[in-house]
Amino acid sequence: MDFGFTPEQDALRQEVRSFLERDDAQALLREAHHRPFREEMFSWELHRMLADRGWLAVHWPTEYGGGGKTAIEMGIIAEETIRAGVPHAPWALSVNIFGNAVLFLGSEEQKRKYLPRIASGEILCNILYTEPDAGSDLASLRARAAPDGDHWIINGTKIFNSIGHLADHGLAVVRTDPDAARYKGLTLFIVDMHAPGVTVRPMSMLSDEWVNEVSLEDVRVPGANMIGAPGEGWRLLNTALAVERTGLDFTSLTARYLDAVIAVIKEKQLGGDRFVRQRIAECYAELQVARLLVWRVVSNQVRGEVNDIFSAMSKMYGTELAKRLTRLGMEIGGLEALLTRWDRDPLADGWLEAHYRQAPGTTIAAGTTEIMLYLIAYRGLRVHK
Amino acid sequence: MDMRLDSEQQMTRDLFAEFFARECPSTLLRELEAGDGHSPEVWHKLAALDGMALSLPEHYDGLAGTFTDLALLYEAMGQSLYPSPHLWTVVVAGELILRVGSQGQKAALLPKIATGEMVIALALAEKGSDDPSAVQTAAVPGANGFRLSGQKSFVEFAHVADALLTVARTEAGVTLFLVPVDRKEVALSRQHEISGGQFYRVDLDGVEVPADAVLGPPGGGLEPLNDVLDRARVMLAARMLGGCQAVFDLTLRYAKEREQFGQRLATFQSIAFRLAGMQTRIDGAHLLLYKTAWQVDQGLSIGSEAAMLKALVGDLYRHVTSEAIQIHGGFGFAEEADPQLYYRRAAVDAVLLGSAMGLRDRVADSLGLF
Repeated sequence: MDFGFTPEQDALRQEVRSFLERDDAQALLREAHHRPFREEMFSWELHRMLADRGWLAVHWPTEYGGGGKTAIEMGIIAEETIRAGVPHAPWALSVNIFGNAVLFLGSEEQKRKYLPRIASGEILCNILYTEPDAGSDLASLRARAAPDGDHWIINGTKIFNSIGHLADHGLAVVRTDPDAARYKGLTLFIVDMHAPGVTVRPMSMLSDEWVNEVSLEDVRVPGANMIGAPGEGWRLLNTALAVERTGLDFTSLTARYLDAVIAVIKEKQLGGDRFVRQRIAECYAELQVARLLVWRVVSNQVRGEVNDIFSAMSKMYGTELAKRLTRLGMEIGGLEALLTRWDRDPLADGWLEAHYRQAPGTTIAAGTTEIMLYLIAYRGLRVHK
Repeated sequence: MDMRLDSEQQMTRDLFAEFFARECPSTLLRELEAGDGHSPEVWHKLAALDGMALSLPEHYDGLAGTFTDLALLYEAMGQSLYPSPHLWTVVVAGELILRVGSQGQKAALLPKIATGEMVIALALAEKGSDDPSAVQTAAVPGANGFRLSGQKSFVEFAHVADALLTVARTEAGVTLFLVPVDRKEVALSRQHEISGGQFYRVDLDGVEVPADAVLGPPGGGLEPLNDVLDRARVMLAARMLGGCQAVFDLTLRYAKEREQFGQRLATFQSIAFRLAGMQTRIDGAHLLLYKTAWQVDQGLSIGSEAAMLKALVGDLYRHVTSEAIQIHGGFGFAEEADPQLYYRRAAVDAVLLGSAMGLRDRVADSLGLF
């Protein structure tokens, strides 16, 4: 057993921290946080500063623009950037979701085409999975692709899409065989988000990150954009989901929430209050557990072991804690915590309020808590056997 | 980074788990609860398996095993609810003797601890408090050493102990003593607590001990004791987690067999999800236990982490045992079924050496909350 990071990994963490504490990085983070209500908070400038340091895809092979390191180094960078408040969805979707799917499942040509440009911060990518009638029950999706010579014509509507308004490419799962049983007949395609027939409309959400409805109307996609073979979509998708779902991004957000609550406690001088002390100590312990559940998944992945039960445990535990922490923050912050950052005089720059609106999405996105419990119960504990 | 037990650790775990499954079935637990709570037979068999020598240095006939190995032994004990004075004899007294004992004390006592020949109980708590800095038991200069007077409580296995590791106050401050039990000035009376265990009130009525009964420097007992109690808290957490997993496993097994409404209990979503949630928390707590033990083995300080671990696992054990009874339904509440054994032991272990409330205050301090 070894619970430690290597000295090089510790040094990397310190390097990322030092960069994020720099005045220019801090100024960019503040600027993004204080943009007008409902305005996109992504900062290309910060994104490319991270890319210049080789941090966006540090775990990819160098031949695809990566840093040749492991998922551990990627995890360290993600932990530190998220904890510092870097809006993470554009990065995570491009690299760890779209990019990893291409890396693990795509053809050589696809890897060379997309990965280096993602790693260099030139393009952003996203996914097109969820539909109005296919959320947790993704296999009931209706978007379809019909062959047309060496192309496919895609029609359908995808919702709750993150960063579609910023992204250049999207990984879509669609039905290519309307007669096959629901898990069969699904296929993955890379869709050019700028192609004719792709329309991105914002859907306002509770949190500051908006999502989109993406309608695909007679979108022509070259056959070379297919990942895997027709009908392999469900299997490939689940392979990709298992790699994506480490829980690391969410749990790093949870760490950020705890930092924010502790900062408010200190500001309001409530550290001597027994209720506050007890609840924070409890949440702190659970955060340590959440991080261990995360790092179990990541360190196993580095050895090529993918265990979707451990992933489900990690994702569920960290996000359920996130919600409790934000509720606690609002309790401790009191009236002042209600003020948003667009108010003249918010508490702790309005972070507690923003976190309270963000947290409910964490137990829904990337697999709901209920789906995680289902996976643990049926695949892990085999309650039906 | 690799959070898996290595093959030797797995062998250690399996060896002890098989030992206790064989030697300490729940029928024995029921016999012991009706009797004097101690099985010399299992104790000596455990000693023969190096259960006492495991963590002691080779120089004193120990095996020089790691702290993680010791935690694996404690998990196995917890799975079978094995009742014994091991924690007080080996983890607390053995470690203190090793750290602050004189050469003579080490040479005389440690080999006997390693073979299971010697049993030591911890006389720390007074009334409702087990805070070492609050002890009132007084040790005053006597004929050839000290004379101790006071009242101790929750001294576990005092009735089979050769000596009591007694925390008392001298003029110099908190001091540790090894007090023989077979003295007329040492009176034991059994405390009837929830688990039916062997806890004793001990009245010390001017018992005389020689100067060499002092363990470590007079007045210097607090620091080594607190340090060793943190190690004991990690072992309590390991024991509790062993219990958590065992009671969870038997509950899962029951829920898969038991049918109501023509359906197996485990497949009702209300039951399935609760089981999934519990296993997640047990898994996470295991990682925290192993990380803490690993830190000790690496020579890293564990500071408030032992407190944090013990608080978390104590809460979890009470929760899991309560859910185990609920999922078993009426049978779980029955005395003849096993969940209640774990439920009662959880209540004890969760508060031994500090309940979650007090332990969490230490965590809050470490986070800079004042």
